[in-house]
Amino acid sequence: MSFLSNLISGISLGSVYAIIALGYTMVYGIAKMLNFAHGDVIMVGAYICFFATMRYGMHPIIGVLLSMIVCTLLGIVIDRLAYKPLRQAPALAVLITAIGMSYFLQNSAQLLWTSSPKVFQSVIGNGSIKLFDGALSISYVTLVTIVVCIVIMIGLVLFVNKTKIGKSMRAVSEDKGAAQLMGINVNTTISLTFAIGSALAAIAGVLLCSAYPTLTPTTGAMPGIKAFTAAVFGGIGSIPGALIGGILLGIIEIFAKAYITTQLSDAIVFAVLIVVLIVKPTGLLGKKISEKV
Amino acid sequence: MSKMIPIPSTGYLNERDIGKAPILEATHLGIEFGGLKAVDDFNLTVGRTEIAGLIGPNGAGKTTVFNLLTKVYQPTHGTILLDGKDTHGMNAIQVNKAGIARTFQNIRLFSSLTVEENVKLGMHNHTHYNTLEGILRMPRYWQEEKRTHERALELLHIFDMEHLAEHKAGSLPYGAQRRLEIVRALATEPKLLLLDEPAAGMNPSETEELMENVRKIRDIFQIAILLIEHDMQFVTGICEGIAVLNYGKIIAKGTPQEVINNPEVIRSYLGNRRAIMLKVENLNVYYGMIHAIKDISLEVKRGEIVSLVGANGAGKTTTLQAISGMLKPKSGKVSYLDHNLLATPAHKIVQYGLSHVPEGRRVFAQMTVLENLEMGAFISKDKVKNKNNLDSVFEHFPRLEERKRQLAGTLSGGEQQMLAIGRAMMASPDMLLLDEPSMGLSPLLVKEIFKIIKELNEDGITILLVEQNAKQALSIAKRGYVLETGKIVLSGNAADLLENDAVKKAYLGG
Amino acid sequence: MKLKTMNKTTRSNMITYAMVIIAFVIVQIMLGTGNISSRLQGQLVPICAYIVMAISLNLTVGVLGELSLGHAGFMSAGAFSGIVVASCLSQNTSNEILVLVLSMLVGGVVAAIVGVIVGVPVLRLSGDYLAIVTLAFGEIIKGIVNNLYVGLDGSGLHISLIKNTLQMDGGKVLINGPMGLTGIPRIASFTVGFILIMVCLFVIFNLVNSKSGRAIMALRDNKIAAQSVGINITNYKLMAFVISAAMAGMAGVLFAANFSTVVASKFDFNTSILILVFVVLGGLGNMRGSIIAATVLTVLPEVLRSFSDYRMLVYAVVLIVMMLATNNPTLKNGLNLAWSKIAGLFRKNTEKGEQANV
Repeated sequence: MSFLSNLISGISLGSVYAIIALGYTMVYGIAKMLNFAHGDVIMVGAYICFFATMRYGMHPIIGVLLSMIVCTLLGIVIDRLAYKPLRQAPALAVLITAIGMSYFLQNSAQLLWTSSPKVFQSVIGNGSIKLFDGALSISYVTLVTIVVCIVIMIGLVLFVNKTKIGKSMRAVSEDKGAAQLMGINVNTTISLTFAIGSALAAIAGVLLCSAYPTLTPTTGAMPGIKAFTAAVFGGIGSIPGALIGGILLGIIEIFAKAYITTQLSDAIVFAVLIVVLIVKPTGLLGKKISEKV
Repeated sequence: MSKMIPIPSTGYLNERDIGKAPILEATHLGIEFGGLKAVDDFNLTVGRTEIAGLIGPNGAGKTTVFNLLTKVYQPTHGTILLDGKDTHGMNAIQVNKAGIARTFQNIRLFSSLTVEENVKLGMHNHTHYNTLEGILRMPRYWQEEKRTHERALELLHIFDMEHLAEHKAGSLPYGAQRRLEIVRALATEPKLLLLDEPAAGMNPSETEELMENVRKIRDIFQIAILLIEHDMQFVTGICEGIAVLNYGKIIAKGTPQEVINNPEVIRSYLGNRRAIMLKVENLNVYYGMIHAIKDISLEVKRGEIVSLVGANGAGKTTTLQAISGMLKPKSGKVSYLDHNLLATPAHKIVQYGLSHVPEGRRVFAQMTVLENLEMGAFISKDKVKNKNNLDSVFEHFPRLEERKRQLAGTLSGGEQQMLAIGRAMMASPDMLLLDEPSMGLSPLLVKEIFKIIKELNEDGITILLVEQNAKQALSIAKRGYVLETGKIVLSGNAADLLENDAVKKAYLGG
Repeated sequence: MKLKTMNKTTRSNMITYAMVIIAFVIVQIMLGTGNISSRLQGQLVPICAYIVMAISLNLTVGVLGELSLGHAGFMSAGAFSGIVVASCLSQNTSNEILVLVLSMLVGGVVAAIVGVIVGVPVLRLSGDYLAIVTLAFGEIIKGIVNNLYVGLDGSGLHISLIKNTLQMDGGKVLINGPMGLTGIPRIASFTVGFILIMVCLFVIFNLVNSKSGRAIMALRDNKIAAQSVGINITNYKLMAFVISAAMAGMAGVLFAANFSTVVASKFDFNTSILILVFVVLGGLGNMRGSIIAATVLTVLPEVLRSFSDYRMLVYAVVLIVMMLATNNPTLKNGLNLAWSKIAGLFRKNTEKGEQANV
């Protein structure tokens, strides 16, 4: 029974990683850049929700919506100010800019909200359902996280495959030049991708802090790195890859904690990643790109 | 030029080389990419000191042959004997050590290093000191660096490039970069030198000089040279034996005379009022230091098919890209109807009714045929019109309807071309810019594509057609322009151009 | 060699050596005359360590052209192994310099071995995938060192992982899990730091100007062309990686020996990024730039201390603005124009013989 319980918490943690990883993977797919500040957008999302619900007593749903709106705007502003001027620049310059943006967000948060941890009260409630005569107890947070992840996943797949805007995003990620010839505005499409990724980051932030209630300006950093790992794990640029990578990462982490050692769980997660990349250099669902000679 | 003596089944050997083992013997060589036979049953023998040419239309598989010989790709079948030794199981590095060196079609220099360093890198495996000796600057380091320095200058002297030794390779003009690639390849002390389009982008006098130098290299180093080239004057002027490749297969082999008179070669390779809609004036485009388009002016009238022909690298694609806003020209004017296209963002141009079908098709490989077509109608919100356009595309290209749920990446080259044209038609254009629609297609498909282009024109679409297949392009066009190294050298009625001796010689194979 | 006959690279290398030596002499004079704040004095050894980190990472990122996000991992491996050796040795000898040099050698060798372990799988990857693997390795090294317990007593070294199960008979604990290195012999000195910088510069400059260095740069510029002239990609990629790791290991020992305790999280992802920022701001492949960037950016937060809370924010903004200014074509052209105007004014005002150095 503890196996099942661990599995479920693994999937739940993995769901959070998956939602964050989606942001990484979509932005990578379309702008070919690693947005290192993505993890910190999560943190901002969590703070907004925290203040809305705890400080101003808003309804949790409003709190979540508000934090999504703020993060969406934040994502667009970051793209316009810091990344858009660098579309033609070398990848390393963009990476450093993203790192700078990450520092900026963390330090702004520290100034605005101090570095003392805030205790985040779950927006979902603290109850749980008991199964098998109470042998297996699953908290609502865990359940809601998994459900939200599934809903987002389905929504996103439908959006990208069925709507015109979604398809234009795929077109841009495949061939910017050809997409332009179709009359698609590439910059708008990239901004849209940032907007979606950031809105998802807000949701991830709220879910993450509902499960692990300590909120500080660096809350987003480690989950950000792990989700990035998950995106690479699943094959960066691939939406289903982000889901699979995220969930697997969550399961591996929880199992490593439960059955091997808590202290080395992160090391084990990263070791598995390395093994996967050695066997499959472009991740589980990644496409092989070979250079034309 | 010496007489070629046929050797049954494998090819031709130069008289001079008879009695000696050939340097290269490729037999039944082939490679498949996902079921597509890019090269199939390729057989070629090159004599020890022969200069041999490999020609054929774009997409025929010429560069793939080079990639197989140098093991950039591992052949799926066949054998390669280099100086009698089987190269099976060797990788690119070992093949180079065994004696094959090459240049690349799209120049691959170590561009941030100096010219001398590039040449010294060619001598890498003939420089005899180890890393520790290098770091500690032991006597061998100084001896070897001195020797390789002198040798590098000697090699550069072939092209009179010693004075450039300290310059960064990436800062050299285009022609010099091509020459440096040859020097670097020579520095590896090859027995067989492969040159991939050495004359591309060079002007006639540079080409002339290159011919001299290639011959000089053969004479000094006593090596064999196999080259890919589109410039027929160059090929016939220098090669002692020529093989013609088409769709991955050799269709003819022999002396230059034999090859250019071969009916199959002529058929498959050498090739058949209005208001001004588009006007290009004094267009200049630079790629870094390279002046790619030099002061081009042209115009297209409503209802016309105008063909822009010229060799590879002449600047045809660049011209189209400048028109449709994919790249920024340095100066000039491009107007379409009343619109100033240079002041219009690329994604807006299609709204004016001007659609560009880019080189290499550039379909969205991970999207279905239908989705690709939907993307073509991205700017249009009129559902009825879109439906009508879709029907009309399917009418022109019934094959696309059969495959509408298939991913575009799984289509054949011809189908992808149809999709690319169909996708452009979804925007209901008044004018189409078509870039090399026949590239890499079989003769039958080429015919079909050209038939469709004619049909589209009869439906009222004005067409600016860029083609390497000059004969076909001119035969359906009303007027034509001939582009050479970024300049328009001839223009006029298509029929006249077809009869023009210079055009015939340069692009229609004499 | 005479100055006239030197080529551009050699001259530039000589300037870099001279710059480091002059800086060393000036600091020595300041130390001798007591003209240096105690805070800055405490920064001297870390600056040396960061300079070595920056130039060694520049070998990977700038010269080899592969992005590494886990350079601090090598620093960590070197620091922890080297300090254990230093602790053992310092019980038997009182020659601090000898102990430091030996422990730096050990740290360098251990980091080089880790470099091979990281390098071999890395050879199959490139670009962003390689970057993530180096990041992962950095985190793994941190995780392991964080859970490592090493003690020394009369019967020798005791090692345990995860739980402190050291069966110690008196003696002392050298590595105490998450508490890190404790009771470090503080034997690091600015002079040794200076020598380490000079040695690393010597190795890198001479490597770059030799056959092997050219091969490494050839990989960066064009892998396929490098293969076509017979260069063994695997060997040279690994060589650059391992040399870079070894130098980072030595820098780690120097860094750790400057403090009495050092925890593993001192060498985490953020440190790797910090070093990468030195390299990028200093210029890829530009060793002198790395040295200047490492020095300025290590001293800068101290100078900005009066801004206290705002200093990291300022740092972040400076970073972003620098990147935008140097990489956005419009901004860059604008800046260049401004520069040339200023330079023009400057030229007019000075005599013709003087060369404006802009």
